Amino acid sequence: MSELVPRPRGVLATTTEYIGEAVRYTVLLTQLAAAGVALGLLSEAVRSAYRYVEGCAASVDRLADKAASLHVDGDVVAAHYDAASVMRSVLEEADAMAEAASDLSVMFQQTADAHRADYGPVADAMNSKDGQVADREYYSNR
Amino acid sequence: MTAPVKRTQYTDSDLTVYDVIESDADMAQEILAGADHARLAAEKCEAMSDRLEALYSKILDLKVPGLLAGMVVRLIEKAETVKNRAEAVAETLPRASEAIAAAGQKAAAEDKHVADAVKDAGHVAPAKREYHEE
Repeated sequence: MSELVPRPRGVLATTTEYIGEAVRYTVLLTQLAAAGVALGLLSEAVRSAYRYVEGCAASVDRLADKAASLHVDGDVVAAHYDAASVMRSVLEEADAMAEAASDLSVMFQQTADAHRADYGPVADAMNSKDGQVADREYYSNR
Repeated sequence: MTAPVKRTQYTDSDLTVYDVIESDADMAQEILAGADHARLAAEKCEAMSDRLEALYSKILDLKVPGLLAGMVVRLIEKAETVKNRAEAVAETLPRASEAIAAAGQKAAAEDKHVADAVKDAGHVAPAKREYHEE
C-alpha cells in the first residue's frame, strides 16, 4: 500500500524524452505508442490510488463506528467521520486524473495509428526507393 | 508459605486508543506520500508537454503532411489537462492526510493518558466504566 500515485519516474520520462531530438518516422511511431502505454500505466496507478483512499475512508468510518460503540468521546468520533469525508472528496479529483491520463493514453495510440495510416505508404516508398531520394518538392503532385 | 496471589487481567479489546492513534498516523503518512507522487506526476506531465511542443515545431519544420501535426496539438492540450488534474490531486491529498492526522491527535489528547496510566500500573485494561463512578 505504499504507492498512492506510483512514481511516474521512468514512465513518462523515458517515453517522451527522446521526442524533440531528431524526429524520424519509425522512431516517432514507436515513441508515440510507448507514451500511450506509459499513460495507460499511470492511469491504472491512479485508479489503484483511488481504491486505496476509498478503502481508507471505509476503514476510518468503521473505526469511528466501533469507537462510538465503545462510548469514545463524540469529538473524537466526529473527527474520524470528518476525515473519512475529506478522503472521499479526494476521490473525485483522482478519478478525473485517471480519466484524463487514460484519454491521453488512447490519443497517443490514435496519433500513431493515424500517422501510420495516412503517411505509412509514403514512408515506405521513400525508404525503399533505390538510388538517391530527391528533394521533397520533386515528388509533389500540386 | 502462601501461594502468590494470581494477578487477574482481561484481554478483550477489539479496538484500543493505541490502535486508533497508530492507524491514523500510518494512514496520514501513506496519504501524504501519495501527494508527493501526484506532484511528481504533474512535473513529468509538464516535461512531456514541453517535449510535445518541441515535437510540434520539428514536425512543421520537416513539413510532415497529413493528420500528425493536428493530432500533436491535441496531445499538447490533453497533456495540460492531465497535469492540471495531477496538481489538483496533489493539492487535495494533503488535506485528507491532515484530517486523519488531526483525528488521531484528538484521540490521543482525549484518551491516551488513561490508557498510559493503565499500562504504567501494569494492567492490561481498566475495570468497567461504572467502577469509577463517584
